[in-house]
Amino acid sequence: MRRVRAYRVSSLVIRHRNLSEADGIVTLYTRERGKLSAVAKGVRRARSKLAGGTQLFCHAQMQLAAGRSLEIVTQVQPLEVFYHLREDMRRYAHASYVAELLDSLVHDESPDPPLFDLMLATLRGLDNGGDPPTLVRGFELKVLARLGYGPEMTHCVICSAAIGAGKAGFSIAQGGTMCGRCANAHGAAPLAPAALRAMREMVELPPEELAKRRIAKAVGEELERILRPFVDYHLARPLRSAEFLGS
Amino acid sequence: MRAYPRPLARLIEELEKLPGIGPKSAQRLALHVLRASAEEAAALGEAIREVKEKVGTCRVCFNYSAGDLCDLCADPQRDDSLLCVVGDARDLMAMERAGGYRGRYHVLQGLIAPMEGAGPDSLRIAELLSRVREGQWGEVILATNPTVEGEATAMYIAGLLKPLGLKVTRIALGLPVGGDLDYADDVTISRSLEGRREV
Repeated sequence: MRRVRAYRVSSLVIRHRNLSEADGIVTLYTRERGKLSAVAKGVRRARSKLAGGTQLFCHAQMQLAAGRSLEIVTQVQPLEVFYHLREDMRRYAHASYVAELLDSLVHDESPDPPLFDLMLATLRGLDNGGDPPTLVRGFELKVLARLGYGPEMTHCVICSAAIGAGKAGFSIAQGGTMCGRCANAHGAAPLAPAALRAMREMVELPPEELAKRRIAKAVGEELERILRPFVDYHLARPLRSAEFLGS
Repeated sequence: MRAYPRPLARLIEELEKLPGIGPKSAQRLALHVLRASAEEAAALGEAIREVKEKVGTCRVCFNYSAGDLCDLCADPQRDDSLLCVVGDARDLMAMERAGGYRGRYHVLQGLIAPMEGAGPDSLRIAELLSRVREGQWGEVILATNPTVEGEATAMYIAGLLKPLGLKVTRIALGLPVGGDLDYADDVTISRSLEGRREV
């Protein structure tokens, strides 16, 4: 029999599902081990000691033990519960989208501490009153760049000309910006200089800084129009929370 | 390889589809049914058939009901000024089991969960609003689970009900009876402090 060994992780709960009578399965994004799923036994009982720290979005120190197929949560020390996410449907929906996006983009057990920090900072920002569209667009750009799917933002994806302040376009299928001439020739959607500037800035800004920014409404709408389908293009299936946000 | 006779194998297959029932349990249950008396087996079959035929949802509160109106809505003894909103029928049963509450109920048939694709439109929220507008309610009690989904749903509904000018309350959140302060998260502890009462 496999020896049961316990280990500690810093974790964020990115999904919570019910299992059988009183248990739950949590999908965790951990700093040390990346994404993994764990069973939290008895977590739906009112007196469960695991309940507090295994709630959706919770940032916690967890002790896990290797189980037969899934890990088992043995101890939890909740650090941040992000309570405000429950009080505002808009924040709740945006946080759900970010969690679902991370879940669908990363593979099990491929640790990436900067990505953990990005997710944590994004949830903190959403909880602390940061602007949801700014945080979510920033998250999309950063997570895609981190995983190697980031859009090209400095040169034309067709002719490699540097993109200046003039007319430009954006092609989802070609993976980024196009110069004015190529955009015309390929029928790419136009990209406003302000939106391009915002994209470049967001990808560079530390995630904590994003929480203090607020992109202009028109820029935010343009980025959503570009980035949402761009994200979907790289996913196997559409995100349910994205449909929820759209409605 | 020897197999069970076809009808027995079929029963095992059907039982395996039930939640929490694996191949071994299914086999054990099927053999039990086979060994039981004809009456017992027929009663089980009849109960399964009847539950699908006769049980629907109450047209007023959306609790499970064998008729147009559930027993709770039909009961003239219940308090018509109190309305308790719960996530599903099992939560309603938990409230009833505890006793103490004598008002009416409204079952949402779910909670708002963006990741599951469950939005306000997939719940009985519109029905709740029209019910609240039409009735003479003194108070609406939001008794959804103290989970992220339950809290978010309660807050959302509170936002819709408040403008109607009636008292909207949320069930108390805090330490469970028999719980352990040391294991409670910060939010639970601060909620229980906010909700403290003089003894």
